[in-house]
Amino acid sequence: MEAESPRPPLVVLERLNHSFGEGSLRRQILFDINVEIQAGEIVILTGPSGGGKTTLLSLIGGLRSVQEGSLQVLGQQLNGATEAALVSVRKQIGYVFQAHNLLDSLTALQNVQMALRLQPGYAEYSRKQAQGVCMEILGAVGLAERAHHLTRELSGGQKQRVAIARALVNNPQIILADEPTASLDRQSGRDIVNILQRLAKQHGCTVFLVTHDNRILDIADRLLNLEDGRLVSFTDAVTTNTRQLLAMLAEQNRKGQLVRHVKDLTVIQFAQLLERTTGEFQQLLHVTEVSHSDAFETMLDQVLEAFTLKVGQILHADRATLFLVDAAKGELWSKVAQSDGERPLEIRMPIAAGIAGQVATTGEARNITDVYDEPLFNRDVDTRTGYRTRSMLCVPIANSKQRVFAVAQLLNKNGGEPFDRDDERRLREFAASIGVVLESWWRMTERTLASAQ
Amino acid sequence: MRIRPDIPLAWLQLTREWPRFLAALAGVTFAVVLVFMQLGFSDALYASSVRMHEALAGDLFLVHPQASYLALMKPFSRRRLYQTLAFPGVASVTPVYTIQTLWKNPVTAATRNIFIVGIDPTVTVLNLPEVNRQRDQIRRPDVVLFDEASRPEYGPVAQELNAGRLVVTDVGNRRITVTGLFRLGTSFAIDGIIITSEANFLRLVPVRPKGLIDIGVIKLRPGVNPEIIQKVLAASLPRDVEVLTKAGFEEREKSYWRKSTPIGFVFAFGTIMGTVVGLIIVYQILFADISDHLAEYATLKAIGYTNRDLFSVVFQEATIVAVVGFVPGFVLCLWLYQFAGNATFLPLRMNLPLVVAVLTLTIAMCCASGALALRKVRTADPAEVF
Repeated sequence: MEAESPRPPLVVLERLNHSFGEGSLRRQILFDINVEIQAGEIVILTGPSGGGKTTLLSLIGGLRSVQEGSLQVLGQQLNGATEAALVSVRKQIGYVFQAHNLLDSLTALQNVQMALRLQPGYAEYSRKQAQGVCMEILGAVGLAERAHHLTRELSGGQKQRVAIARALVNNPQIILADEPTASLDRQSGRDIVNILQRLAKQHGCTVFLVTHDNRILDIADRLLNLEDGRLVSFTDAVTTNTRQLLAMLAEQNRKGQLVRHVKDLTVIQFAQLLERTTGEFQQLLHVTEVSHSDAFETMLDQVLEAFTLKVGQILHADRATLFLVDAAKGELWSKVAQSDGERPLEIRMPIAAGIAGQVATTGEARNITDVYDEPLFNRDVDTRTGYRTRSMLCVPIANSKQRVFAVAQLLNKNGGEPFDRDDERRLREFAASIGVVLESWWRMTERTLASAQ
Repeated sequence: MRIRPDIPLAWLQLTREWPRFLAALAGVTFAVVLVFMQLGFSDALYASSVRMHEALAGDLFLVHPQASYLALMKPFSRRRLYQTLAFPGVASVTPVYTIQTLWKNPVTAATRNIFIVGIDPTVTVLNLPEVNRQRDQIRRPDVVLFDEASRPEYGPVAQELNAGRLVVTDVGNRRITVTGLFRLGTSFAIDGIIITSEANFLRLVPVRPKGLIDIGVIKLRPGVNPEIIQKVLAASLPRDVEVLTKAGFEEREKSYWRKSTPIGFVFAFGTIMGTVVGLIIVYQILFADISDHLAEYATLKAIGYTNRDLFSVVFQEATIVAVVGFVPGFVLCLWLYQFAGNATFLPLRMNLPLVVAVLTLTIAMCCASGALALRKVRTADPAEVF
């Protein structure tokens, strides 16, 4: 993992608001935007048209004056900045626009050179050196042979590649891209973002990209969603989208021709149509089966891992696990994180055996100095994971009806000492404070898992 | 040595749109031709109006203070002229008589005013070799020499004489004979010139009282400074006569045409209008060019260029248009000067100061167009590129 101290974020937005128009026509476009973009990240901003994405991008790029709020880019506060300060920020950013990137009258090479000219050291370049630098970056985007062609002789994809070359030629710390794949076909669009991702990682640039195109979202380290001027979580966005699409589908079905054409069909044709319709919907159900989707799985993993990390941190334990009671099967189950980025290991054990099981059944906490002295201890897990458990603290988590639905288990307090009363108290308090939230989360999870059976 | 690896954006932008570039060049060429013709005519008129002055063989000149221009002098007493002989430095003096009177075209019998100059045939009054060669002829009664550069309305005089025949016609109220030709040239008020002797002159125009002359020509001793003598004479002679150096005499004539008639105004106006038309045409073209490239300029501003950088591009375009448009205008005028000169009998001459002046004016005109077009550049909004 990274041993270096965290670098300050390159872009910081705080309470950013923006409006257009005057007087009675004044419309607010951005509401209370708070975002931090770190060095080296690829951040993609999506959202419906008119949501304010382009406005936000132009604010970050120093192309528009900040009206309200704080916007720091590369250490320069843009709210109240002079024109000269804005120009200086622009020179440090690489831009890839949706269109109008390039000058018509120039060749690809000259277009890249127009950006190079902004470098403070440009006057020191000889003609050959300047052209060499530009040729190099054009080569990196795969356009070395077309360097001397005029802009109008290039295809859409090629123009965007030149735009990327131009954005990168000065080794900027940030690249801002607006719909770079908008007018391109799938393959060209794919190529563009691949190039952008590769070069950005190579040069250590941060990329902030705005797009509608769902096909390219995979290159992002982080996804932001802007809806009606507010940042919403990606999950929210997906939900809204899916809901809308399903509603559209329902509407389409209602307007559908099935009933109208039935009279014209033969029996065989009717059977075929019915089969096709049913098949389509089976597919749809399959895809929307959330419980089978990676999204649900990973959410589950993340919550469990987050819980264990937090509780482990609070109590200075080496390891923590949250066991969930599966009453129907009489089992306790959890997921244990593995080293080296492997998927978390799912553990299931009968409620009857094991210390955690005892705690779940009796509702009493247990504090053990050395588990190997405890006959109830199930050594299977240790064997499988290669861990040596010593001290253990197990605390039940009960729902509003006083039924135990989870057990928090801590292993190996830091420093080798056993857990004490204080730790027990703190764990109980923590469990109590998150109990309600944890319970509703568990109920939702239980239901989803059950519907999959 | 550092070679700046610059991109000629201004040139490339202009030449990508050939029709528009050519339109701009046409506008500039038009303005250049107009200005060259205005200034050329103006210079030529002034130059032509002092052809006679230039030809007079003297260092100082006397005229009546109320004399208007060469074809409208006011006679003054010749005593004044002979008085100057008393002054040291004055070598000799000779009187010149001038008047406009009617000439009858020997073929059509149509009459037209002609300028008559009466000189002393025993003395070199004019530095015109043909006149001096034929001086003896004008001693004969009613004999004149004719300016073959006179307008054709006077009849085929030169043709006849070159064919070996003499021309006889009426001038004033006498029958005269043209026995020889010389070449001087027309001017504003003078369409034709005949030169004859003092005696013949006085016979042709009996209305004039004796003893009155129109121009007094003073020759100074060699090495004497005309300016000094001019001041001395001016101080000494009474106010009823004016003393001028040759330069002063020529300037007096030119000044009349400049101030007393609308000529100066007309040509200045013509020059200004030519410049204004050129300015407007170039401004329109630059404006259209900037408008077409507004998105690109906005892009440039977005990536870090300033308004000033873009202004520099506009001014480069203006200068290119100015210089490239100047050349065809200049070349065309070389031919036009010949053509118009022949048509008007005026000495249209291309010279270096004129070329420099017009080129400077052209560049200034185009830069002014550029300056007006700058406002459009400011409207390129980098926020709109996204």
